[in-house]
Amino acid sequence: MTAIFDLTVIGADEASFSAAAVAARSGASVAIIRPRKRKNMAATYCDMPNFVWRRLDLHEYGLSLERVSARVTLGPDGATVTTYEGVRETKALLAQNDKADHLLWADFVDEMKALEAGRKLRDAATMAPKNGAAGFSLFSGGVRDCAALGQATGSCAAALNDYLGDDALKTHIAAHALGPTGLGGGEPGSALALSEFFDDHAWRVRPDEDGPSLLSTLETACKDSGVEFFTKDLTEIARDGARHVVVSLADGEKIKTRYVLFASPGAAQKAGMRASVCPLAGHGAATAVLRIALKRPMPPAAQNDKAVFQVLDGVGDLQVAREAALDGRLPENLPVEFEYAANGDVLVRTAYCPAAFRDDDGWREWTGQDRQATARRMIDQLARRIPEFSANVRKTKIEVIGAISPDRPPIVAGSGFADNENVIVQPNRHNAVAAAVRLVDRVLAGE
Amino acid sequence: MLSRRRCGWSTGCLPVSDVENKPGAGRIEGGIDAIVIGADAEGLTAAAYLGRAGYNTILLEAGVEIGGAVCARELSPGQSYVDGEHLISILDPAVIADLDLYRHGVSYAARCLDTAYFFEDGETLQLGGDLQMAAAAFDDEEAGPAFQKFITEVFEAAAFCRPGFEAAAAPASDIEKAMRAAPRALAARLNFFSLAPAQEVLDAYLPDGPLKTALLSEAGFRSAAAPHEPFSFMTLIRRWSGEIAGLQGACAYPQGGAVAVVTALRRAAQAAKVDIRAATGVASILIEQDHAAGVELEGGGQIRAPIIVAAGAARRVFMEMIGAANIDIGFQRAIMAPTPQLSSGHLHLALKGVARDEKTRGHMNRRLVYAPPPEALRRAFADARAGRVPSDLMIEAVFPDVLDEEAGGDKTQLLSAIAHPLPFDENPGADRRAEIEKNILANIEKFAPDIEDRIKARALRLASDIAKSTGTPAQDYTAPPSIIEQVALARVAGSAGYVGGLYFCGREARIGAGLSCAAGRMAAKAALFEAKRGGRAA
Repeated sequence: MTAIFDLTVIGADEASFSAAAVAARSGASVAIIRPRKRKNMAATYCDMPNFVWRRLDLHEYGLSLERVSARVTLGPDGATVTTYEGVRETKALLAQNDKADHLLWADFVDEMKALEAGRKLRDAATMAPKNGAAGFSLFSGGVRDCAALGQATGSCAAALNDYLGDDALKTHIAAHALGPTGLGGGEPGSALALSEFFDDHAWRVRPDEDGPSLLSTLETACKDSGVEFFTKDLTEIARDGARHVVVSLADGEKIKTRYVLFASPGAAQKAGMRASVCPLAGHGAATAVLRIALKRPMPPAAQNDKAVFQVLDGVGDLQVAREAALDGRLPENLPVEFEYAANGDVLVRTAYCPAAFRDDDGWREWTGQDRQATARRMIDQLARRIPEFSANVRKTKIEVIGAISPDRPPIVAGSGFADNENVIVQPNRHNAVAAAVRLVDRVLAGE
Repeated sequence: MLSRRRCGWSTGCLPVSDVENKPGAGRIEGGIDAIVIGADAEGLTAAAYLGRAGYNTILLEAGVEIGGAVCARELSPGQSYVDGEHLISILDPAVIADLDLYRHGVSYAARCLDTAYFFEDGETLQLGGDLQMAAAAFDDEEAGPAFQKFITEVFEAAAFCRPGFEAAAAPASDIEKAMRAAPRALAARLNFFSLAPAQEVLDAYLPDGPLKTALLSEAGFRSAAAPHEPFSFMTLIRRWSGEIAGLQGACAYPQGGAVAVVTALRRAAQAAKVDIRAATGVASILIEQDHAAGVELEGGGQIRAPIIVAAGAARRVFMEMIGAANIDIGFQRAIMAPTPQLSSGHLHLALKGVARDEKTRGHMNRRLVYAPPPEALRRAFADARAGRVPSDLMIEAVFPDVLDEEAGGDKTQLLSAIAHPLPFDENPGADRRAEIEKNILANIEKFAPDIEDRIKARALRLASDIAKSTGTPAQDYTAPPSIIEQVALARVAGSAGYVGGLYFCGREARIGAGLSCAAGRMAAKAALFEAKRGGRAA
């Protein structure tokens, strides 16, 4: 058994490293466990709020970031909807494109940001409270809080219908807000994604092409802050008395720790762990990430290689895809997100894959053929919007996160959330880094 | 239109020509302390509470029937069935005690109904009506201890949550205090139970098997939240927070059916000297200086009273009877939120002769539930939402005449069933009705084989049918959304749009499917509390 840590972070993404580094700088003893096999499949874009940047002094590492230029949805028949970080800029663009919703845009964004009940609900779902049933005490709020709670626990499609009229704009927002979570537009709780999506910290960034990568910079920042790294696979997490948990690693080593944090459900799913109870966790689905190397450079979609793109026909397709994934099938009309990496590769992602497949004989694991078929379908979806895309694909590499084996036991011993209150799993978040850092602050402050 | 001077600040008044031609059109009735609009179970409860407190109360009902959706109807000559509800599970015990309902005629033909679950593979599982005892006696080495732990922890959470389910008008600080004081382990469980999908909670507690399938069906029954979706476990918590004759989580069949409870409520109201007026529709609620001042009747004339309790649907009460101009915009948005496009269907069958099949005969004195496999259940919700009639449906059925001798007809047997989930149709055509009936019967066959050959008469009651009988829009009878959404909406609706003297106990103020009466009690209690504090009624 090694030393006792205050916090053990499991995962190898930006949110995990940021949370670990911030905790270590606050004086906590922190360990990071990252899987042995890693592929360079991470999205090039993630959020990096100013307050984390300042607390980790990231400018000292020669890092400089650029912001995503726009969120773009490639709709059917060449229709494109674009929104920008600035509310005024987006409003002007909507007005220019004759979208009547430009009149409501600013109010809509403000109201979605103000869904405070949503934040409380997410926090309650992420960690067990120390002082009473915080999640359930949402009911005790005033009438306005309850109205917001009703809205936040409802469906994304209903919230969008309530405010907006233009179908293409609704599709665009639903695609970007729900795409990373793998939720359907009609699912209860999917409206939570809207308040996340419009959060000030949710706008994504990426490092300059010439500078160091964000992930490697954060890794260095962790090491400089005294975080101890374990590059080993996880085998079990079990309680040790009332206050501690013991994390067992593949070579038999055990780490005793006060708290375990999975900063993203991806990290938890990679460890074979059940995701958070938050509606945004996207239960029962897996995420596929496909890196596509092209034969020859081609002009970026919408002439914008610094944007994040979604491919979706209509809001309803998200629900259909979600139901197919839960049913153990690969959705026909697979919603996909893509972006251009600095080297010209195309990174495609979808959270609407089944966690396991179901055929006549029952549930079965993912196979190599399933991976190939998924890659093919992701390429087809892009080809529906980008002419001659299929013919230009040189090489692909696919990773599936969250695939489960129907017979595999969960990695966390004990039953239920209540028994594992020291194990914290973040749901899918648009502002994963900001949320993970805030969460760690709260945990270490003993809230 | 009437001038403002003549009808106060109300909206929605009748055209002058219509009003002036009706007898009593110009009449203003005074000397009334409280008016209750809508004579369903909640309205009757509120009226009875106000009457017992010594308030001169009038109960107005637009239709001719008292009792709302719950009433007795004829199925075939000499054979009737109870429409709306066939069992009692979440009836507020405080209402029974406060209104002395036992003295007014409530009695239980079956107080603690056992449940027999039937599964696709032909297996059956029987659970006693007292679930805590059933769990203690559950005969399975693996599932037994797990079930016992599950029931203990869930029942503790359900009992703790009970005030939250009737808290539409309770002061927020009281709930806050109670929730904050919850022991840590219970608090963590409450978080888990209130947010997680039922599937997730059951996975955490129970091994795969018939017990889990049965409880999964219970969690999805009569709710728009599918068991694999967030917040769905609360449906079960709500059901098990109920208490029938001191037994938590039990189901009962009242002597005479659920309609007997409504009859007892009517008697309690009459005993409290409530003036019940059927066929008296309300056109608008009069608002003067942000305070309810009385009602304008559809036939003309006004009744003035400082307390108004409304039991109709919020859209009708606030948007039509009061008018959007007098209502807070945030409140409007909350009550106008779209309702889930899912519903339940009731099928009542008069059967010739007696059941010969052992499977049926062995369980006729129980609550019978067909629990489809989890995958089929998920697909059923997806189908119903997409407007298709699912082939697999959850069924809850009883043989009322076996439980209650008075319910049986001459040489016939009655079966009352509720099927869920069904798509919601405002006006279902004949083909649609036939398809729904066929699928419900196919699922009933799982526990009552060859039943089709015995059917003598049948009544399919969909949301639109019940709405037609009560004279309300079909939207009022869709399946309720998740319990969290309902609690949130109930607290908003309970504020009655910040109109002083107005209290609301309609559909939006109710939490959970079934006959509860808690909203009526809370609305009346809030009215009495305000009046005692020095409101206008004092």
